[in-house]
Amino acid sequence: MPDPNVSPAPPVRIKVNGVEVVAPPGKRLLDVLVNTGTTVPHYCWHPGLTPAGNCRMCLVKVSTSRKLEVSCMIVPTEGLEVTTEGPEVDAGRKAVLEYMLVNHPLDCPICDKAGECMLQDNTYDYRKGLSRFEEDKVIRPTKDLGRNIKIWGNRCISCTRCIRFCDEVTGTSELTIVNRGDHSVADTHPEVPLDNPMSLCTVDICPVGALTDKNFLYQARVWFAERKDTICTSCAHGCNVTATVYKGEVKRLQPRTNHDVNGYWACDAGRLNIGHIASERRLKEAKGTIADIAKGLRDGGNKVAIIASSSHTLEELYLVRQLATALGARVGFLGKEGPSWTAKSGFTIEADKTSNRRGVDLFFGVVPPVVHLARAVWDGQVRSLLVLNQIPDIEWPQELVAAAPKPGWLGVSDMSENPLLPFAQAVVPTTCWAEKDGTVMNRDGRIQRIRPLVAPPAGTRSDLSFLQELLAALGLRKHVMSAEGVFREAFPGLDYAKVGALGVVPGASTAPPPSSERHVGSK
Amino acid sequence: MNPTNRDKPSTAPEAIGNKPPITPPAASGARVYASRPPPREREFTPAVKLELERICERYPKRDAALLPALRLLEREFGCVDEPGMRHVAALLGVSAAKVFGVFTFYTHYRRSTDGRYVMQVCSTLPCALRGSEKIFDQLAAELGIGKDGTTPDGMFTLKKVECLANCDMAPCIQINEDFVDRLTPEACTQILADIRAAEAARPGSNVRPAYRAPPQQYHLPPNPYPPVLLQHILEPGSETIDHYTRRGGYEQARKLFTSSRPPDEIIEAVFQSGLRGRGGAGFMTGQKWKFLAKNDKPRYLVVNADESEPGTFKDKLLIDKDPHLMLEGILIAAYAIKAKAAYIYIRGEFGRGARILNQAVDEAYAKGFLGKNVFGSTQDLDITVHRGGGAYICGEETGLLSSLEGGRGHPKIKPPFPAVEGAWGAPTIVNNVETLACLPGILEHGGAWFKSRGTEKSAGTKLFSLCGNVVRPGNYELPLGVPLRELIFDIAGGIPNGKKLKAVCPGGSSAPFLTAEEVMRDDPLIRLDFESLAAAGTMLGSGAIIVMDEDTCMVDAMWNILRFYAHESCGQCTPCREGTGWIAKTAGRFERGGARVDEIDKLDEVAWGMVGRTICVLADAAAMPARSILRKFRAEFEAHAQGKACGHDHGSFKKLPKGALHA
Repeated sequence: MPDPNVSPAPPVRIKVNGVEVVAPPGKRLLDVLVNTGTTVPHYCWHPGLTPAGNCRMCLVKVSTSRKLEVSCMIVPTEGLEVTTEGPEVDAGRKAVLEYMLVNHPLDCPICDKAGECMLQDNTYDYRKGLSRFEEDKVIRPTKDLGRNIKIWGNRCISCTRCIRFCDEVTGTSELTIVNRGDHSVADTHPEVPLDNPMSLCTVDICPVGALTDKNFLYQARVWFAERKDTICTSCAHGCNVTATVYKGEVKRLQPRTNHDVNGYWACDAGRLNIGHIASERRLKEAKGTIADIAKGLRDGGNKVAIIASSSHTLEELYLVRQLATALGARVGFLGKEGPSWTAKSGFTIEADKTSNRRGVDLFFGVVPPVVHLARAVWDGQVRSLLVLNQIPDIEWPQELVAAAPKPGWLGVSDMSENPLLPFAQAVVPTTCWAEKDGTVMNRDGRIQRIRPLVAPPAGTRSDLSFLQELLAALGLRKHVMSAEGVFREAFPGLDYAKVGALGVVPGASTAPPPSSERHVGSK
Repeated sequence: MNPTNRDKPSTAPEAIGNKPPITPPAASGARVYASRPPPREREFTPAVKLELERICERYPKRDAALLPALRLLEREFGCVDEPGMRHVAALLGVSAAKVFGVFTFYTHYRRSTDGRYVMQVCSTLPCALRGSEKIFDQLAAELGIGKDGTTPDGMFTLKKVECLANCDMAPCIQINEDFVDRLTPEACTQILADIRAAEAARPGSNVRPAYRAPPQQYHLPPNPYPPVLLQHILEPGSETIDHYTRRGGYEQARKLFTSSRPPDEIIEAVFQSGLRGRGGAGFMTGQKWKFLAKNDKPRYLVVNADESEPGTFKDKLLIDKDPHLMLEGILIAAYAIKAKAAYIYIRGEFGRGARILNQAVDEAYAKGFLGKNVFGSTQDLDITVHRGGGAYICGEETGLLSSLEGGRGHPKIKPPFPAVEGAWGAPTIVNNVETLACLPGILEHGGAWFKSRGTEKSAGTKLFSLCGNVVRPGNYELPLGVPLRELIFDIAGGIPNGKKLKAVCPGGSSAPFLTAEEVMRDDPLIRLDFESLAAAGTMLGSGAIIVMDEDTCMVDAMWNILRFYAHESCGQCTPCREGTGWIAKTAGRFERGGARVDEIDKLDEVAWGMVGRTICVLADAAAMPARSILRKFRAEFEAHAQGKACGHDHGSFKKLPKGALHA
């Protein structure tokens, strides 16, 4: 808690290229420059890591020194004058770039990083392709560093971002720089591989194509791909991500910065959980019409049960509540648990492997575990059962699978094949989180938007539209609305614009989120 | 084989003091060299684990014991290997990767692939000028292996290493930890024969080497100027505390500690004496002490005994033959800066020096000159000897601190400077061995006495390490200000074999080179002091003076020192990491005759492009001498580029076939 008797340090007034700029106290100069829109090329600095000052790319002229200094290390003092452009700074940048390209291989044609590579961009901007180096380049090995990552040693520029990440964020310290001089390269101890739950973040932050994601290797040229923002739904953390979509497939997820949720990071398990989207196990054939399903539910009388999942969107849960209330149905919710993990920095991977448990709490309050409902089904207390699942790779509770033949009528809505299907009178192939619009509420109560990344497989429909049509068939609803329409109905006073790019906590002010840093311009 | 006193365990009793001194124990069990197949796990015995714990206690943070722990792995298992590194990582609470990164940074740790005898041929300029290439070629031919090769029987590994600080004994090699001086190709043959004979006489694969080279003999060349630091250096037993105290040693420290003189008064006295750092930078010692931050943090005195500047071999002499002179200097400095702990960072290759220092430190503890209540006063001082692992950049003060803290020798961004934020974030003073050795004299005789020798801005005497093509190489203690030509020609005998002088590098290889014409000029007369050499566009530096005769190919000389800087660059920052490698390779291409004339200017620009853009000045140390050679001996580069013989006998250096990459 800040001491109320001590006023906080005042901001510092500096001049950047002649223009006065207010710098928050204690922040490094490069941080200030980047966040006030001044472009300063850099490699080794990252806002989520301590600065290293080794790439020398961020050299600027400062009034406190005769020579150029690295802006990533300077903490500005009152009255500091900074020049980030002009012949002297340009000469410094050109020189550093020329040195950086001395041993860096001309791998662009085969390098995954092409198109999103800071070295490529800076070389294009500052050197126009000229290098005077005529010697033989140093050779460093290309090899696996662990399960997910392959390092191309020749490309490594020894910026140490990956090492600092493993030291400061995960605390697992599997990486180091080995050797000396121009034989320096990032590496592990030969017997201890890179193996932590967030290891793929090192690939994101590698400024060049040295560290590569084996799952993404050669999958797509990023300039042919689309980037789409969404939320990872593999646990209750709700990390903000951006998908790289190519030829209608999600090729990878990368973290998107959100200081109220995941900072700069995401975990491997979540970002790699995309194989199910285009899997062959996806359901495509429907069984039964909406009218059949409505009839099947009405036939249950007052012995209807609905089992949904805690990965359904807030809109869908709202509709489930509408349906359950109207039918007087008992409700249960499928879930998924797994190992949790906390990084040294505090980043957590939640044990709850679903995306919207808080949404369930919000609409339904405390609900008994779904196995209770499954036993009720087994005991014959349920005549009509509707099961809707949105959790990929769920482990179906044995009690529910065993009880599946018992009800008089069973309807199942799911994305992929599941053990209940043989007993279902109605089957609805449905879309997954990557194919629909909607919102989910993370563990902290923040509502965040998921967006469609790819077109759903033919024959599928979203639970959002299915539930609305079902409600309409039961005479409980007049119109079938978009996800935003349902959202406005469920949350009067809120709309998707207010949810924004970074989410909103209902009840908190609708002012923009407090984090003053938008990490602009570097990855 | 001569019996030596190296193998006797230290006989110093358990010392008085807060922390007992570190006494390396005698043989502690079987020493295994490169056992095949290597075990999958390594574990120290309980006794060695305890030894490591006691080492850890000497540092404020446990992981600073990493470099000493690697030496323990060497001693116990014969090498540092991957399971050993994991074991040490677990004991010290650091990651395996950290240990691996540290291990691969340094060159002097034994690897699991090393043979029983690692033959390290010094190849830097002073040894190259006196035929080191012939020594390497002889050994390579007889052993049938090339650079970095190991004989199939696992007996020999052959390496080229950088300056061993033994330049007056050039050409020299190091066999494991032993120096062998003034080699000839014939002597090489003899040594190999001696080694093989020793091994044959005592067979068995899992024992330590049977052969130890005879200990180095020290000598001083004749010198008309009276010695100050070197007064007693060659007397038998000069390295013992008894000898030192009998000649009045430790009296100044005793008087100081039992006085109530304010420490600031000592700082002022040293400042007024005009003493300037003797390690290379020449910064006013008293001024540096005045920069210490005033806060509650503990203060550290760190001794830079990482003598690695090519051509320099003065600290080695002081450490091996008069360590107590420096130790008393440490006491005085520690009093002045109020440090309770001092660390002597000694370069990894100085195994003998580290042993001698540990012995001297033990003796001082035993007499109550160190530890708790120094000289019966209320003050404490602990000294710890910390061996490096083989890296020139650990002579840079913040590179040294990074290494002392248990890491790779990476220089730190300045500011903050060590006097404000140094070792473990605390205010730290790093001083050179020779600088500290000057302190007892200054305290005894006063600043005016110190200033009475030397020049107005360069007070006192300095040790100059003269080497290369000169009749009497060696350490010369001279008052600052003696003309450079007087040293070379009037004192040291001039150039051997009737040859003419061609060039001099007057401050260690990081100093711009001087032509013979500049050296011999009457006006301006170049004197051996800070100002005169700076005015001549070079620097005094460490005081190493490398003399080159008319047969020296300057293209070869430049390539030689640029290879040194490329090997020694820590690799952190882009311009130095890439630039030193680049200019070394281009220089090599010039030497082979494969470069063009237009590349001379390019080489100059590439060297200049590193300057002022790096974390430390190793880049400058490579660029400045290189540029001076390019400028002053341009004709030789043009001749090489045009495919003409440069007119110099390449007997000192080796001519490589076109297409070969590195020597």
